[in-house]
Amino acid sequence: MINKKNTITLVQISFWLNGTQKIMYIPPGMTTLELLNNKLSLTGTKSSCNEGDCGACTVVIGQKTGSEITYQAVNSCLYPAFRLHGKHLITVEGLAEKEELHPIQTAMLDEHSTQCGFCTPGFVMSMLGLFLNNINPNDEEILAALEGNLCRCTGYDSILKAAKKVKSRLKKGSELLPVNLKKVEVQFNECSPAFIFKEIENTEGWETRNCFIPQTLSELWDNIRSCKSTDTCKFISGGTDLMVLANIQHIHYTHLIDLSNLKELQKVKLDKSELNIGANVTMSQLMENNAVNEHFPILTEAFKQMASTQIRNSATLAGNIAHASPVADGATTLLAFDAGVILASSKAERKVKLKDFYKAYKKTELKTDEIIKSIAIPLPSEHKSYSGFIKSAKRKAVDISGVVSVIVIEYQDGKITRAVLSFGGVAPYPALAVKTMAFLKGKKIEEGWFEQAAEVAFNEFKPISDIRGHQSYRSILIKNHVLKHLADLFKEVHSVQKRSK
Amino acid sequence: MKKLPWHINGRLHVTGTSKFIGEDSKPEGLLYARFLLSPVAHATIIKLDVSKALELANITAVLTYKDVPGVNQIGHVIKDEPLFPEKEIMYAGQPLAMVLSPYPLVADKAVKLIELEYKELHPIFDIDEADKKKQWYIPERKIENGKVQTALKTAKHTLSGVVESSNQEHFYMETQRCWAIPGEDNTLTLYSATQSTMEVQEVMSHVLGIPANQIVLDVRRLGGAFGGKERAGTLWACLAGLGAFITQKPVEVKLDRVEDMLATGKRHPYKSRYKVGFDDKGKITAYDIELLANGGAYADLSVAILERAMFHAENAYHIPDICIRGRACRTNLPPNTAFRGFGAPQGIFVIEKVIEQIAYELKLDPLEVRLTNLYKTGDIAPYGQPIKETNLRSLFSRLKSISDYDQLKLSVDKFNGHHETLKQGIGIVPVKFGISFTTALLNQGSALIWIYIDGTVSVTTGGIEMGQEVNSKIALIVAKVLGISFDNIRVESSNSQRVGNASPTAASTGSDINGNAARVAAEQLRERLVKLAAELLSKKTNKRLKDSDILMADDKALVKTNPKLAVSFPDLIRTAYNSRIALGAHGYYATPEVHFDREKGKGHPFAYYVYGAALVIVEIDTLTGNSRLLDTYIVHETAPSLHDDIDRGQIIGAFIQSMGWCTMEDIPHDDKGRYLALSPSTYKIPGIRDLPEKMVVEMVQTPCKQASVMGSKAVGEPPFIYGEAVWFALQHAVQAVGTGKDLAQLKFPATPEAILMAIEMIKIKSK
Repeated sequence: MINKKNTITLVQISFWLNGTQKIMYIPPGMTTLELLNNKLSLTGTKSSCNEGDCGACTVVIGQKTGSEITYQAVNSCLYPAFRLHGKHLITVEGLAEKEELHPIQTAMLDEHSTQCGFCTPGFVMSMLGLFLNNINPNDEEILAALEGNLCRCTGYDSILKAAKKVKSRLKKGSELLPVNLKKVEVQFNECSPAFIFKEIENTEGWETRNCFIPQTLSELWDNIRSCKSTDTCKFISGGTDLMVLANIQHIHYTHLIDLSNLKELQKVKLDKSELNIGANVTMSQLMENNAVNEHFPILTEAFKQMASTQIRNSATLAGNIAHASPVADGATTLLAFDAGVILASSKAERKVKLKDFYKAYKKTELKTDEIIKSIAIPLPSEHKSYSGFIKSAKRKAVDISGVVSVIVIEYQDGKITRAVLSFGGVAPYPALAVKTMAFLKGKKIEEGWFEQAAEVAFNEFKPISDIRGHQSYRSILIKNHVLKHLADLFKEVHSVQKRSK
Repeated sequence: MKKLPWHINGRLHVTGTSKFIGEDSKPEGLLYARFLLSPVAHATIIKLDVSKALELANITAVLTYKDVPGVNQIGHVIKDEPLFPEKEIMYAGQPLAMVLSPYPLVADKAVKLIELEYKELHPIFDIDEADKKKQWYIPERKIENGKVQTALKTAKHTLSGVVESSNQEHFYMETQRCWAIPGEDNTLTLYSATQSTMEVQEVMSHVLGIPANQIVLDVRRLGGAFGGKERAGTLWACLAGLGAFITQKPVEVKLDRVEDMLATGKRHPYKSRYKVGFDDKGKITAYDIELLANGGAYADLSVAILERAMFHAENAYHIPDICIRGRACRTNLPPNTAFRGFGAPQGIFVIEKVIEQIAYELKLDPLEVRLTNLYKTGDIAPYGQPIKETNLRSLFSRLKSISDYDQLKLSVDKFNGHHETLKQGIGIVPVKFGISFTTALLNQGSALIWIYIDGTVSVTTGGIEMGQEVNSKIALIVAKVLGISFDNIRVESSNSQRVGNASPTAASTGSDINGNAARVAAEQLRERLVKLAAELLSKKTNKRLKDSDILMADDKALVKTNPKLAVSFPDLIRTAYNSRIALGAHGYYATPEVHFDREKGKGHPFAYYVYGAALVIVEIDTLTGNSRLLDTYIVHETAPSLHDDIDRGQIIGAFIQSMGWCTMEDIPHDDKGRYLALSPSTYKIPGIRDLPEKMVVEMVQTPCKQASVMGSKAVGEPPFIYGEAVWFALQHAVQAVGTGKDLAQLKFPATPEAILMAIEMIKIKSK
């Protein structure tokens, strides 16, 4: 594909929109939200923040993965339109069947859950995503499904009541999708037809002019090789950070290399010594993964407090690592479990421990032709262990940490045999509290030295002041997180002892 | 229970088919506007060269102040704000030039090619600095009653202090926007996100130098406003209008979230100094209060907002000797503007903090101190308006009883005694909120009703629908007056050709003013129809029926004594048309009795007051500063509500919005005056997990003598005050950390950081 400066390579995509097949050429930099609003004249999906924080643009994507058909709510502002290829895009306009409203819509009206109406379609779609996956959600699951949607009018009470009313009205076996939407499921093809590209003049002024959508690793290496020095190439997988950079900070790349179709990156494998998580596995998939929940429940705990359902449905743990944010909750957690990343290029594969992966602020081991292929977490030893995750942010949900910390303790006979403590938000990248770890090792788990340990951690980092917290606040949090971790550890150890007596 | 109607446009909202501004089919040749926004807060422009931007392909026009055909002025009451600055940049984010292109991404590129050179001037951001330099839009205002200085001298106890509250971003889900469509004969139609069609029309006509009757405003609905589109929408509407007028092509102005948060004004930060005198029971005898507002670069509505802050400086408390002074200060921040409560929350926060201080000094229950000071019927407000009826005392007893207050206090104390790192606190705040525009002339409105030949009805008022459901309420009123179904009524866009000279939909008066105007129009129609029905039905009986024998109900006109004798509404309408009876009516309403003399500081600014009180319990984690809202009790007087669900939605919505202001919404700026939290990733408004664990909202619907349309009371702003109870509850929780010797120094807003730092201060002092 030749790309002169004034041309752009469009991608042909074939997808279903509310039960109707569409085939169209779209610019590679276009989001699903832009496609809906600007090309398809569907304005029910709203743009309000364009960075995945408000949920007004929520849509549901139906697709076939393996033999399974899944439906998930995502933020359409962060979902590249070319990724719709072979999928079913469901928007708020698709739910009512002629005059008959969808049960979610009726409940929203009965509970008077709409005021100005601008956030309403997003809430409807988040609820659809919820009930399609879980017809009988508990309160926590309802909150988790709706935490990614902002409303400035209602104060949420009426919206929450509507969700509960939907639940009370649905019966086992209730069909959540209208007939004309359900019927296209049989047409879902696991293997999407090949992409077709078309070069046209770039009249509209798109910054991203081309994209590669490799289906195999060998195609990927070819794609990387074909990038010229004049191109700016960027890998995209979940896209929930990259699309924010494009939408908000207007950081664009001439070429996107989409990794999301690489099947080699989609598996979670458990062997005797480690859990290997493919780079394309989403956070939502990991939260439902038995191996993760069995061996690393703290990881699931961390995911619950990260972002929103819509974002977790797209975002990957690999992306959380590669983005190299100093406050990455996922990376901070993995650091505490001594995880490593498998980096791959056309030439070789190598494994780098996460503690060696970060070099400086937003600088990592990753070379430009290298991708994160998977994440390897060593399985916990047979020793008794304790792990804890604490996140301090301004808001309870969908907020970025001011300080996040994770502790992993192994102990024997009431003594700490191994201690790992990691922090996000206190250094240029997620970091281990090495001195505190050394201090903790060998300590007897009894009160008396906790303050001292906290003091060691306090002195170990010099955090900066920014929008998420001043230096002094962060420093106090470092200390207090350690105190909280140790208090929880103490409680667990002693209740375990009591139980064993 | 009778089923209440759904939101009048609810069906459209839940199906995604309601159209907001710019969502109709795009007009042929639509141009997209992009702006060069000032990177600095205060500067002299040396060079603004747009020639390179114009050279780019597909750029239709690049406009600056030089292109304004009329007057480069969008100030309304105080004329101090240019559309585009000519020499002096006054705030970061101020639009300096506008690029128009059929392709928005191309327009973005052109913006980067505009050459701007400037010399920075000293910017003022701080209220005190502006005040010291006498940067006031108008001289100090004063409301005074009795002799406060004498009373302070003779008071048993006195206290003084400084109270600060911070700004708040509106975060309407729909950002600022406008479609401007040029028409024949130099006319222009603006589909603007504004709460004030009249103001945009008037300002636009000055900017373009054309008469008002060439400019049409049409507003179907707004995706939230909260005051942020009362005046702040005017700038963007006029920019769109200018672009369309010059190019003679339709123009879309639509800010993205970052631009909106950077460039538009917020709730005013206030800094207040007070002296208070009180007796052993905590009865306030004297209150000397000085309210300073950070108004931003231009006057905007700052003076009117200051006035309302002053009118609410004593909140629900009768203070015999009082002096309230206020100064609105000019700074180099985006012009701060109306935001739900309009200064009242800021004024009330001060007196509530004073009450807490008094309770702390005297070791009294803050609830008791509040009760001691509450207004009684017959008291007179500092500005001379008599309190004709108030149920504050009974609202308080209700609040105490539904929250089981005495027991609650014990259980909170017990909890705090048993927990080292968790502390609970109770916060209580009452409200007395004055309803009416304090600028008396704005208290007027019109409505236009058409009954069509099939009996369906079209209603237009000046009211702007922005989620408060003024349209649902208007339809309810018209349905009730005409005795027809809610579903047969359409409430149309607010359009300046159908209803001209409309006051802003603001000050909680939207339903009162526009609902009353619609009622007046509907009553005229009913009178004509009843007369006709009496004639028609007389023919069916051998009795001569009087108008008073007829009832309009259930989609018909019927004889009261014999309901079977009836004519259906559609039949009645067809007969009326055939009989050449007018089926359209214009209703006009002006709120009676409102006036205020600004020089003297005396008058009767409000038609009536809304009362209520809230109590909340919070829990904090003293190691992280994180907090949880446990139980919330609100007793709010609605008088007989037009629609319970709508009013409940307003109460809860206002409470949560205010809780956000008091606890998490924080938008600092850098040394260039650029706001730093410019998107919801850094600016946190409450989410669904921030709801209290339990919420009891009791609406008091007892009929009142002092109320408005069909006996109801306004509901938009008063419940905003309740969020402050969360702040006071948090202060009590922090207070419980230490020995109780020093009053907790909790900042506003009470973010986890603010809470943790306040705890640290207490810990250090207790050591």
